[in-house]
Amino acid sequence: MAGDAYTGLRRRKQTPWSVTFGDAVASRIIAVGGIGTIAAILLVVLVLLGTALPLVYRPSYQDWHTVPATDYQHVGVDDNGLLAWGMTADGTLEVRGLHDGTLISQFPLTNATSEGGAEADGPSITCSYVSIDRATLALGFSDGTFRVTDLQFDTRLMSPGDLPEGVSVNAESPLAIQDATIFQWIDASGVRKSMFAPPQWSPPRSLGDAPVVALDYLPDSSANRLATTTEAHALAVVGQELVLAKISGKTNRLTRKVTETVTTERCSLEVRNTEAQPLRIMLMSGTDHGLVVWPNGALDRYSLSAGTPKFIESQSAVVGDAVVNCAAPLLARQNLLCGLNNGRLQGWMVVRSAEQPPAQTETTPVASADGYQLVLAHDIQASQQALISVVSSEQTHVAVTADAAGHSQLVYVTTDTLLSEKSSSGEGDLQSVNFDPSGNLLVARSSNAISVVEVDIGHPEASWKTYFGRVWYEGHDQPKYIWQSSSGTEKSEIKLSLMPLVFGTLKATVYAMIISVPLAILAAIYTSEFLSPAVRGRIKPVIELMASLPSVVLGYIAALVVAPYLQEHLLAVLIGLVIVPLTFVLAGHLWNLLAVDLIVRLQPWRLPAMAACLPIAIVFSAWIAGPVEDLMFGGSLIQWLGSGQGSAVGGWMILLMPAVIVLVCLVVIGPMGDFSRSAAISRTPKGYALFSLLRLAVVAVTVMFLTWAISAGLSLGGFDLRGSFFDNYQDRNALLVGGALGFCVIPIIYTISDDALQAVPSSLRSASLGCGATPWQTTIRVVVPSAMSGLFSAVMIGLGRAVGETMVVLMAAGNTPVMEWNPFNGFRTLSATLATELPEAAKGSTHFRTLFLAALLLFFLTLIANTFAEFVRIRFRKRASQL
Amino acid sequence: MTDTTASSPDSDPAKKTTSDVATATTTAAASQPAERGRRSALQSGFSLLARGEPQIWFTGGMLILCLAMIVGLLGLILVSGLPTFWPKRLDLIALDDGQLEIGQPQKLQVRTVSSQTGAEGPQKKETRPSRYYRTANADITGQHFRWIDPDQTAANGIASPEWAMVVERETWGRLHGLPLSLTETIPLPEDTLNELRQLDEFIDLIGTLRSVDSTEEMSQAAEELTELLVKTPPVVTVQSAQRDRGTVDLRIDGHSS
Repeated sequence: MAGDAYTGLRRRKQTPWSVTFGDAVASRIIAVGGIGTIAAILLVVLVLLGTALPLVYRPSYQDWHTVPATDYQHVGVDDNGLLAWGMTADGTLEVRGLHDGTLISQFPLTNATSEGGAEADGPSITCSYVSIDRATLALGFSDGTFRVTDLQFDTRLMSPGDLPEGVSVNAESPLAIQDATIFQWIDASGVRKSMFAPPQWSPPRSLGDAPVVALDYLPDSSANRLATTTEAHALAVVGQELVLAKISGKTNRLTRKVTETVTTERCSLEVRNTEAQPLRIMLMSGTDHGLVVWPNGALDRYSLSAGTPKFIESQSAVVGDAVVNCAAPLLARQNLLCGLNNGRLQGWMVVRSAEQPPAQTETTPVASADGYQLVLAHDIQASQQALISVVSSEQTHVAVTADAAGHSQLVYVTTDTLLSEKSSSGEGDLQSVNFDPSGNLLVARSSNAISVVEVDIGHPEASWKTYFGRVWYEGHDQPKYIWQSSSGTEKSEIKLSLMPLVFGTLKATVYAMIISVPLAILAAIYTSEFLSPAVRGRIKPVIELMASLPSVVLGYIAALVVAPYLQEHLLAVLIGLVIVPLTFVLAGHLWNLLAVDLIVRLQPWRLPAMAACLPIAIVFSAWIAGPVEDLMFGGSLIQWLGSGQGSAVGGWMILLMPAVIVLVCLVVIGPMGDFSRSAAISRTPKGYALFSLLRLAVVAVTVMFLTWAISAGLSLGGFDLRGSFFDNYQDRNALLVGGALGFCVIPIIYTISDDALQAVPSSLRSASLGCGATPWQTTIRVVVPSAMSGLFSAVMIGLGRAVGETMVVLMAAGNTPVMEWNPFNGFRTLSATLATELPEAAKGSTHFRTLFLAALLLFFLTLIANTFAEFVRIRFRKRASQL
Repeated sequence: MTDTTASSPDSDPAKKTTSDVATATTTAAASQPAERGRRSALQSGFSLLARGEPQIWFTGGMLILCLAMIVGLLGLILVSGLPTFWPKRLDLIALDDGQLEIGQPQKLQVRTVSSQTGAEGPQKKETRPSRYYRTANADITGQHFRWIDPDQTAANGIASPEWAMVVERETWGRLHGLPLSLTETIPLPEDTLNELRQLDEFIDLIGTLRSVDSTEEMSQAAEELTELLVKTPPVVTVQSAQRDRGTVDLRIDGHSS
């Protein structure tokens, strides 16, 4: 009996092998799939991390290579680290091989002069200046003249066969020197030939009669090689005068002869020490400002823009008994770097002072007359020792300093970051450290040696401060969050604040959620609870059709079709946002006026009746918009937004209306709920319907009046939203993106919400209805609370979609990285930035790696949203399971 | 812990309302005993309140909005996409200054036009509807589009000619126009060509006729002439080309390959 089944057939006691086999295969496939999915996601994170990680590497150094040398004033090396030049105190330029310090050639200063001879009687050198790129050398003389030369290395590649007689280089002995030229073996196909081009000293140009005690020289900056005119500038302290010289060169087109004219403008110098010997002078921001740095910390600014120099203001760089030891301009001559004897490195900038009230009034003289101000923008504790030299890199806004203890520091001035410190080679007393033109070599000059070290500077622009903090960039009057990943010139900084992008992402999400969450959830509630299954089966797929639209189509339509329409009917749309929901509520109240039996009979016609309300509401909004615009906004909302004229009441009303509506509704539902209930009980149904209609009218009027009253009050108080919250209308704006993103988000929220509501056991509904609750009471008190976990996760999944959405925001958001909540202007999201900039970024660059970091950030934003949704869903489900 | 506290607010209002109903019913019954007898909560306005019709309409309205969004978007795509497959109407407009324009109506817009009457007169702004036309023929008129006000057109000035045509050209963009004539070049059969050659001979003959002296030669030539005239059919097409604003001579030549 035991072996027989009920049907009498013999029951098989063993599972057939095919089922066992299938089971085993399926479980393995599922395991592989599951683990594979997790592995794939982890791999994505790894790739993102792997690319972004080098951003945090600190500069790395090779070992010092030191060659003997004499005591030079200035040194420079070529790109390849083969040759170095050094200037001695008498102006002689010596060229040495960097492999062993052999003196290759010498160019005494007098060689180039046409006068010749009178070496002993010649004027002595009183000051010297080397440009940031180490390609221009200027000398000032005791007779009030100055001379300039270019310092160029002539480097070429040649094949080993073309080597001149007597030179042999090979893999074993790769270097050879002949006739002031160094040959370097690269491989069998190439030899590098490098020599220092003999300096072509300009004739002495006179700046005055007294000795030139400080000099700054700005070569012709126009990039046009075909131009026949050049214009260089020099700023000098001659005796007790500040002299601005303009050196105009004109090339004769036929003879190629250059004629030079020097025009000088001068003013008397504010002398700050007894020797009248400033530490350094320099031209700032092109030739707009001249700065004179005194050892005692006085920084004097002279305005040069009017032609003649004019003293404007003086600031003090030091506190207490500190002394300025060295000063230099940073790359683009927008920043003045001062190295102090207490180890601090200061960056001073000339900024517009129009908006900024002078903060430190006791130290600042009366607000400077030319609308600019010299401010301390950067202050870095570079070392514990006194700084003795500071030099800017030619490639980045990194400055290299040297301190009295023989250490050198790399400082990224823009973010006040000390990148790294490197002790010197220990050969002689360190005097200064500078970069080579490529930024890959550090050159240390000491009293008897030149040392070079290869340095990989890494990504100085990348730091937490640049990404998430306010940074004081050149040309700005205060620290700001700025994303500006490409720039006009190589000398300007790359600005990589992620804050505007994160802000843009949040703004897009917030506006999209404000529009789509009420729509989707309420629509789902109606679909699930008040529609017959037949109608529901037909309507749900229509909404889900929205999800099938490619987002590029949505973005395209939003940007090209809806944007012009929105611009034309902006106020009508804004009014519609209030009028359309109100119309449905009003229609519900009117429906109540019908006789009860009629309501029951007309039940199937309720949805069509609702549909009929929509066009009425839209037409009414459009009709009312014209008069409202005339009344509140002087005829045009868009012009009102941009002009700053007219009353400010309208703008406040736009902003306050939703808040007041919510407030009044809460009051009506909450504190006034009992009043409504008792009123309902004491009246007949018809009487109550009329009463509630009256109540709606009173509420509407109250909302209008309250909003107007608050707005008028604020407006009278002098508060105007324009200029702060509102600004010029942009046709690609947050309102538009919110609507377009709604198309992406609504179907997801709707479908998941509807499923969640349907999943509520029907026994709950039946019990509630059986107790006498109406369908609405059942919905709002039983079904929705039970389905809350599903509704919440629907919202969060929609949020995740909105955060990551790319095409819609790319096409409709304008992509300007601004940080304003204004609904009428655009923004730039993380995803749109990735889409636009990743194809343009150079692989391995800071920009490229930063974009990967942005991708990682976007990944985590979505991950957080989804994880939070899952967490809350599980919490809610636990509660719901107890029902 | 959280579960119990969270569930209690949900049950609270329900309890409250039922108790409200009870108390309110008693008060209502007490205050108006004579009017309609005992009125239950179901017969009072409370049933209406409980049914929450306005709220239901609010949720339903949101569904309608969602539906309107999707239907509107699909409709928009269809309405602006499908006309690609059908030619648009082409209007021939006679303006009151005698000009002719031919173009496809694009959109009607109420434009604000500011006009100054006289040198010192106040600048008055008036709004009037204006229609945007794609007029094409940029090689003649220098513009592809034009605003045309209704009061600019002559009385009954807008017509839709049956033969109005849009021609896409490789240069100068589109051409809008009316064909003056449609000609077709037909490849001629060999014997007709022979006849044409004879016509050439005939013309030569006329030339020789002018220079003959003897009557015998003349009569022979006249005989040949008659013979030729009988055989030759007339193949002549005359075209007049007129290029004026609005009416453009359109010439379509068939290939005689």
